[in-house]
Amino acid sequence: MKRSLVLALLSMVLAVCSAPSVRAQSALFAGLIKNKGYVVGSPLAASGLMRLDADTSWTHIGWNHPRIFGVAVDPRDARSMYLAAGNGLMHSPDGGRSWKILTGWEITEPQDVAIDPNAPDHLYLATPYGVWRSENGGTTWIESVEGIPFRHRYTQDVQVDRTKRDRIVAATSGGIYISEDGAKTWRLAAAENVPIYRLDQGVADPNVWIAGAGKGGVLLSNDNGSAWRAARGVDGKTAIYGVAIDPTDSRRMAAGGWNTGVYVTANGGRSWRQQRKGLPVAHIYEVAFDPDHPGRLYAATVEHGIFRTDTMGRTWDYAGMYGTLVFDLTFLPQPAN
Amino acid sequence: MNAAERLPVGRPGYEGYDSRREALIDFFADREPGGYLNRVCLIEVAAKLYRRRDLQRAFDLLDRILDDPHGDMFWMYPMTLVRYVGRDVLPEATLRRMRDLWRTYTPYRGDTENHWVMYYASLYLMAQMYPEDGPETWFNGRSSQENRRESEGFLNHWIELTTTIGQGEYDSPHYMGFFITPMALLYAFAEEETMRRKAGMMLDYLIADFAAENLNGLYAGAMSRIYPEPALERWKNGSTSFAWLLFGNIPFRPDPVNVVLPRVGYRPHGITLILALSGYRLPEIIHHIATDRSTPYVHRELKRTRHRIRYSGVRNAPVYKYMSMRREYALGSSQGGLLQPVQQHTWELLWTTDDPHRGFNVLFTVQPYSSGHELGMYFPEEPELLTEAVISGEKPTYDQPDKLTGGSPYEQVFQDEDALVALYHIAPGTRFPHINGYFSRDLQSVSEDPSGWIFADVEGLYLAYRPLAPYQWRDLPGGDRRLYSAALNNGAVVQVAPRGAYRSRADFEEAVRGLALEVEMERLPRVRYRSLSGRLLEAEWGREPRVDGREVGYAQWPLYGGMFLEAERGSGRLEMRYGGMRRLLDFRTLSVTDRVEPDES
Repeated sequence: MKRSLVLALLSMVLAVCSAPSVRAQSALFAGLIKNKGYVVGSPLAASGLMRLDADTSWTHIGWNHPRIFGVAVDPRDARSMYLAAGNGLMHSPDGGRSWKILTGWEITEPQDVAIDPNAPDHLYLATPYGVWRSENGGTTWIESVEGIPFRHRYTQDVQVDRTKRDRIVAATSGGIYISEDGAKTWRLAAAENVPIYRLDQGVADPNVWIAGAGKGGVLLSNDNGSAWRAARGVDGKTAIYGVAIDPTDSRRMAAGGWNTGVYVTANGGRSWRQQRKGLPVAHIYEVAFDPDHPGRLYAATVEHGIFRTDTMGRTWDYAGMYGTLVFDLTFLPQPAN
Repeated sequence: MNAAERLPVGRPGYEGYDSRREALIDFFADREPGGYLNRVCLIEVAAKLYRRRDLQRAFDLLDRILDDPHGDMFWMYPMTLVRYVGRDVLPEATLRRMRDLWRTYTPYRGDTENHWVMYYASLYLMAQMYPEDGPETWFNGRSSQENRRESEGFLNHWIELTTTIGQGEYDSPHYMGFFITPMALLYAFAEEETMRRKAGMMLDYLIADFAAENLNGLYAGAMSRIYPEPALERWKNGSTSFAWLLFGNIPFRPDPVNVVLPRVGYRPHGITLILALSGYRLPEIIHHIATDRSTPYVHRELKRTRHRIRYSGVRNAPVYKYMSMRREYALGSSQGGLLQPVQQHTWELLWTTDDPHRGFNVLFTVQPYSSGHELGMYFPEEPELLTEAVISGEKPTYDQPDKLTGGSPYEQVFQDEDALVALYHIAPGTRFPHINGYFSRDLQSVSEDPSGWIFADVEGLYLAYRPLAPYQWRDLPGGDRRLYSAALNNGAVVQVAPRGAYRSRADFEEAVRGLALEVEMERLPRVRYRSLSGRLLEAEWGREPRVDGREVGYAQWPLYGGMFLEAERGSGRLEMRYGGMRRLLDFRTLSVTDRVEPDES
């Protein structure tokens, strides 16, 4: 709470002063495509990885690419970036100036990449064919699906428990799977036969997890992913694509999906409000809280732009990117100057 | 088409190949690209470079095309072609500029097999061209050696899959060329003998497959991918140009510009040039397989679905194909179900016409299934988003009730020679709970017989079509009609015969009326039908079909089986047969063996 107050005060000062020399600790990145109905082979408008630099001003970083599904940075060096992209896993050692693809033809269309903060050479990829792991910074890869039935191997999101080395949580097409041994083996944790699209773990309280499910609403855990429950107040029949927990306060959460608007809670999920007013469309693909501005939430609509709220969805400000489909919206720490 | 253009003709027959090839190269070398100048026009550039004709114009065109690199693997393969064809002709500055684009432009690898084969064949050859270049010179940050190794790995994997469990994007008259093209490039330019030999063998393999299933230059039978317009006007597919060049059994017609894929700017016939430039020579035996329809034959093939990523217990489900081919028509089918998203063509009757460019010489039925479930089976995006993504792309008819392409989980088909049974068991609440039957404007004297059969004749055949549920006629453009039937348990029995088999249509009708037919539609569709061949066909929803009491034997279905092509599942081999001629492709030993046996026919 004390940290929250300090952060809140800092954000007010920043808002008033708007001093150009002051850099935020994190920046918002989006993996997106601008072309509606893109067809392979057709001209591609500037798409791929974008960084928000000002209110609605975005900078295109790296490849022009139609499919950037996930973004992560090495906890040891924020210039070392990883992209889960259509062509495979791409890595930049220099903040996006140069790139190298780390995977071969065996791995395609990874949906997400995660780095173990307690073993940063251990990388995990969520792919349509299951989880792959690397124990050497991406040099070699091992298919890691033992314990996940074949028909549930489609994996859209993978997260590493930040409190425990080698503890991995995967969002598969057939439920939430957990590994305690660095993805060597898996066990079903919850939601068998339910497609899971997104996961997030609390920062302030790592025992808090949230999951978005296809036709399954929102699932919550307060014991670090061991037990999960459906979020009451969220329509359990909806498809939820994006979920987020405010890094500064794990009681504050958001979720959005197909025709849902943005669901928000400020009390750890005891009650939810469904916020649609002020958004041009109710289809939401991604949500992300700003770690440097407590309570500030971004929501990426399906092809109608990205929006920002400081009022937990009661009011929204346009943040650009009209016409895009945002596959991933995430804050990443920025390298020190 | 420019009215001043003279169409390539060339001499007919196997001996006429060289003249057709030369005529095709001249056609593109003399052609001035029209409209939007983009990588599609690299075909004309390549032909001019090859002929050393109008070189300054070729350089100018190329320079302008290089200003706007786009198209992913559809940019990679013609760029590779131009780089190799123009290596001794292009100005040094242009060569440097072309090389640098492989650093600055990042092609997407795509999401289908044809994308990948084109991507990796092109990357292999460009890495070969610059063998010592470092990772900083390539868009993907990998060295030439790394790129070549990775490309070789994928190409070997694809060849292994195709020659053991079947091709994924099987028998597509549109996409066929996008597998032939990368193999032609490798055959023409790969320096490593093993790769060049494999590519040449794969050309034989793919073209022999097409040869056995073409009727006068038109691709026939069940298909993985076809677009709506060319489904009815088959000649508009790129496969017809390959038939003209290779078999000489259909006249060449230039591109029906952008008949499909207008946003991509695709012209389906241009890529034929790449095969023409490759130096590939069609083995004589394949020419005979493609053109001799003097003896009716049954042909079976095993194919596979593309990779499934959701809702399936297998990565690649088997596709069991069956074809009855005669001089007058081809009746072909697969078993139905979801075998390929969006563009599946499960069965059809295609007949010989005097003018193959007129089109509309087909008959088939479709259950117009549309769902995010089907798309989610093959594409990684969320199923709720996929339908919109597909229809806003290049496939707008996907979610329309009157569509005429696509597979359905509620469809089950089987065939024995010239008789076919299609059953439908449609789940209540599905988006479009009906079936569509395509009835061409060209069908003659269509009559709805009191017996329940619909009779018609056209060109060289008699047709009997028995709807298994009440139906209505809906008009389609141009005088075609759609048979619309809304019963959830549904189906059709189709019986065809060559005109020459009966003295008159009345005799044919009389024979069909006399055939035993039992239909059960109350709970699950079930049909027992004694066909004109005298065999008893039994089809029941959810069970393997039977002929004369014996299951058709899906578990033993060969990779290829029939008069012309034989291959066992998993063998990595294909034997071609024509009369006493034999040609064996063995991918295990990378050998090709030709021999002649005494002709027993």
